Amino acid sequence: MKRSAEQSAFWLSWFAALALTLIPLPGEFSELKPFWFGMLAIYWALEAPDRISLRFAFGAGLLLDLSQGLLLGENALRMTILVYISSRFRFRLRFFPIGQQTAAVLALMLNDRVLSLWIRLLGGFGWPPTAFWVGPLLAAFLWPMLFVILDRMQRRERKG
Amino acid sequence: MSDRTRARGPLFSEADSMVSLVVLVALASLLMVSDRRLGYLHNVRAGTLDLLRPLHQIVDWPSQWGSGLAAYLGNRHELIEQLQQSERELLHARAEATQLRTQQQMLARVQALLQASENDPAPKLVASILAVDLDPYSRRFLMNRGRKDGVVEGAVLFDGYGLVGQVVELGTHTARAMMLSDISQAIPVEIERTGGRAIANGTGDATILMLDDLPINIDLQVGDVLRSSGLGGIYPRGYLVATISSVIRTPTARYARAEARASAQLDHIDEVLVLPPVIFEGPPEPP
Repeated sequence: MKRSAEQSAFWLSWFAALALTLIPLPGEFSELKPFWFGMLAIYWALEAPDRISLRFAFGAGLLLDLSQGLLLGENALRMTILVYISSRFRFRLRFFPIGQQTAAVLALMLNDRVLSLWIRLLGGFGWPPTAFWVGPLLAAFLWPMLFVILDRMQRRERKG
Repeated sequence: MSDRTRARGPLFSEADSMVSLVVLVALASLLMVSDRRLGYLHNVRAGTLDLLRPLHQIVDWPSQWGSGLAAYLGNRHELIEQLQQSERELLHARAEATQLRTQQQMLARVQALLQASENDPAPKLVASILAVDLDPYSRRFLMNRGRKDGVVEGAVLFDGYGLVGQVVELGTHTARAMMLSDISQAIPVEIERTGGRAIANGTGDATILMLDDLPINIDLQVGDVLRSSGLGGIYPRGYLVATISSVIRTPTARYARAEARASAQLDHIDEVLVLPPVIFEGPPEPP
């Protein structure tokens, strides 16, 4: 029972994240779009590590690349690394209080941004706009809400 | 991978995932470098676009609704302006349509005219004006059709707007014609509005005809249209002749008079249609 509830929450969350990612935003706001896939990857790496493997992260990243990446493999790399680090420190992060966890997410996302910047510069795409650095803050701001929503989703379905 | 980790429990297997990580990172780097070199992402993306299209459409609905709503609510002012402009344009179009209808009627008349003359043995003819007399009282002109072309004496001339006059002298290849406004011309007319009859006389002035000796109480107004009545046996019935421009009723006179403006462009005609004169079976009475 628990498995199926978790499973439906898992797939539903990824589907919703894909939809949210694909929503078109006006040009100047497109950099401000939260990195939903990254946040979900962290959440599921902490919550259900047997569901999210590095390969899954890689595949999800490839899907993202196909829809909006700078280079094929960019998001795949970022997602893989994000999931790897989250899994590596899973036990510590999992039992952090929410505030500390949020700070950790901020750090993870900043790391992700640095990685992205590195790819950008190596690929010769030039320095990103300032809004590029707002992403981690936005992720940290959204994290507690996302955490609560996903937790609720599973708990309610577990009851039913 | 997920099966294996599940089999080993939730514990994180470091060595295993380290290998995975290295392989996947290498793979991603390879993809990026080759993409950077070969630039195939656009092709791959185009190929997989169809896969994501349903999702794109779902995601696009809110923005479509939004823009639809904006168009519905926001453009009221613009719509009102458009409506006003449309009304103005409609007015212009109506005016043009009216003109067009008038011209169509005229065309139909001319066509009927041509058809009528087609049934006649006499050929239909278009003649050009060669010369116009300079004598101020004689309104006569020379045209480039004559006996050899089938013109007969008394033939009636029409210019598409109204009756012009009749042929008075016939040459072999030319003919001299007299306009309705020649001082010696008179044409029996009927008033279109009332059906009343009168005779319009030439004045010598190019475009002015005069209706003399009218009953003092005749029903005649400025703007009344005069058509040929067909009486007298020369001019066919029903052609436009003139429009009344003023009615003169002097209290002491026993007759009313009226001035009319010729419908044909008598002051600047250049081509006329030659119609055969009406021929009576009974005893002819040429003027």
